Amino acid sequence: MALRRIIKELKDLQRDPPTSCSAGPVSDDMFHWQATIMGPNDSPYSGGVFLVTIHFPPDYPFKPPKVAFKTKVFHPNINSNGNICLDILKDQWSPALTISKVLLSICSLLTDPNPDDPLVPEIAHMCKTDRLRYESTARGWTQKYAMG
Amino acid sequence: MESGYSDVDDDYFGDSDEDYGDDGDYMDDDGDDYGGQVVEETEAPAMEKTYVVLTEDDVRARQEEDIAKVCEVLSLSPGAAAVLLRLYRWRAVLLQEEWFLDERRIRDAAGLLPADGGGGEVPARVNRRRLTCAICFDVFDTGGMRSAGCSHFYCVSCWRGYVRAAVGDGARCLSLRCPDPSCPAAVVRELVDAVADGEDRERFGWFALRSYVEESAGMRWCPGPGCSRAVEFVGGGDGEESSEVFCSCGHGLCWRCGEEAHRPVSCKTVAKWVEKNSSESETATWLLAHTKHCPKCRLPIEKNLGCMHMTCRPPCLHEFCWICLKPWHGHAACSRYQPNGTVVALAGANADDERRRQAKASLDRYLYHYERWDANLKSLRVALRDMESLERSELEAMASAAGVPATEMGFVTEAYEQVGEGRRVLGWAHAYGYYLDPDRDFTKRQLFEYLQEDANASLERLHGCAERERRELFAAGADDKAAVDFDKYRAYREKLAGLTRVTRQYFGNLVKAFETDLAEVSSSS
Repeated sequence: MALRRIIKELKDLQRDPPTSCSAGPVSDDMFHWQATIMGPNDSPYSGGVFLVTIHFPPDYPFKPPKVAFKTKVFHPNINSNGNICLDILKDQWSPALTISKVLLSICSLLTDPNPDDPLVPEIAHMCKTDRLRYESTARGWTQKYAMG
Repeated sequence: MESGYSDVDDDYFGDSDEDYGDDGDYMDDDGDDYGGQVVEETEAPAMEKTYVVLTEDDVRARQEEDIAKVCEVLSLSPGAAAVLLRLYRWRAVLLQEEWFLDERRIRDAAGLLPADGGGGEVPARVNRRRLTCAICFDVFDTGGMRSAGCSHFYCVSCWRGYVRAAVGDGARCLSLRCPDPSCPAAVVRELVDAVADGEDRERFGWFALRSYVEESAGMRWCPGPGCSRAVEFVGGGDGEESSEVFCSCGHGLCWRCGEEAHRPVSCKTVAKWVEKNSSESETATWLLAHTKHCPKCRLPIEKNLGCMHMTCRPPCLHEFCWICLKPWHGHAACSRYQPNGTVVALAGANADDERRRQAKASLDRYLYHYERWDANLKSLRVALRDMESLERSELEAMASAAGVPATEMGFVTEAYEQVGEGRRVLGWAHAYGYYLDPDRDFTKRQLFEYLQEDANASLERLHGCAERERRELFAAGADDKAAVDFDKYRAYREKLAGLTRVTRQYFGNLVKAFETDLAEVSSSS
């Protein structure tokens, strides 16, 4: 079940790729993918290319995939290990969601961070109280880690 | 342990009243009188039970009855009724009232879609045309898919996986919604039964049954190991006494705090004691390093700052040195005269000795009370197991061996109930006793020791008689393949019943004293 669904998702992505992301298996293991996310234009991550790893559990899609950033990113909902605080990757997961939709949701999170549900409280605090500094720091990290 | 008893005791038991067996189940009565019929009648109202013990079948029957009632009144399917009742924590009357006030709001909150043109609920719809499942992306013909009454159809295989994952997550499966992220439609029992395999259906049913007890305000599961009964608290009764409930298995529960029954000790003391036992700080090393008592008022005090200047909590406010425990004002020995090696060495040595002595005394006191708390509650469980075994078959065998009707064996059950009550009270008494400081509460500790020594001695005699002497008496009968000598049986019965009465009196005194926080003792001692 899981493998058939993963293969169908891959075919869909190849046939109709989303505009700001790409994804596919790392090697022969269909349960381990890699994805790239282009930093959204209307965010301080613009111009960056962020690498993301995806691991599918054996009971996918009834359990959510494990998704994490490999590229360092300055964001209140993404920690230094690359873990992402996103509800659809946890309790709000549904088997009707797909990797394509997950990646689009991560793009939305980059555009609109959620400091009220922080994974990194210090960044969340800065995001709320000193927006300019948060954005300039995020832009600086993007130039340093997500370009080149 | 006493193997016999004095002549005075002999005379006493020979004169005992024949009132055993008159009482029904033993309850937490005062125990300060017995035998007086008039007094018993006066006390009868206070002993009415404020709770009901329910078997698993009782719980299931009640739940099904509540669901059936709501089905009828609101014209809903059982699955929909169950979802609504859970939303209202199984308060059927409140649900009905609010339903007729604002049905739409309640439907939205529960995820029940509006009825189709008055035709009633469709808890599990079947696809009427060829569709693609949005989970596995396969195409299915008419009849191959299901929805939760909404327009989102998924194949039976994917529904099965969806339900299995939810059931694997626990009670959350009872709040399951349509797989479509934007759809609030509730997944009800009928749909689960239609798509899930047998094992998942059974587990879903188990969670549903449990929710009736766990989500109802007035019910709890019995905490006894291996017991599957629930207890419903009906309320009423007299204040403090009514907060304890006892399951048929003998296990006691405090309704107020959820811990094992712990009368006469307060919920607050129990919470402190339970927390203390689980605390990682209960090691000698930690105690030696961190715990001391204020030299003035003896209350425990922890060092949580770097400097040595300690100030005790209000109202004491005593200021002293952490190192040597001397008053801070005018204190100089262990900081200003550093050049004087002798003074520093002496101060250090004395401080360490005093610190270690205090830590050892504190740890010793904790271990003294912990050991007895633990031993008594373990004995309680042994007594409960013995009582269960007796009621299952042993009492009938004993009655047969003695040539008396089985109904006459109530005195043994009464004895064991008193043993259980005594173990419970003694155990928690030691949690209470731990918080009596040896110096500040010296006189209270004296009274505590006096009362619990008497109660303990009486309880050990009772437990020994009920356990060892009973086995000796009836084992002899069994070995000889002959009836137990009736005179020996009658003497044993009188002795055991008498010990039960005496022990009940001792524990009545103990309970009363503790419930007034040993008020006989002046706090200005």
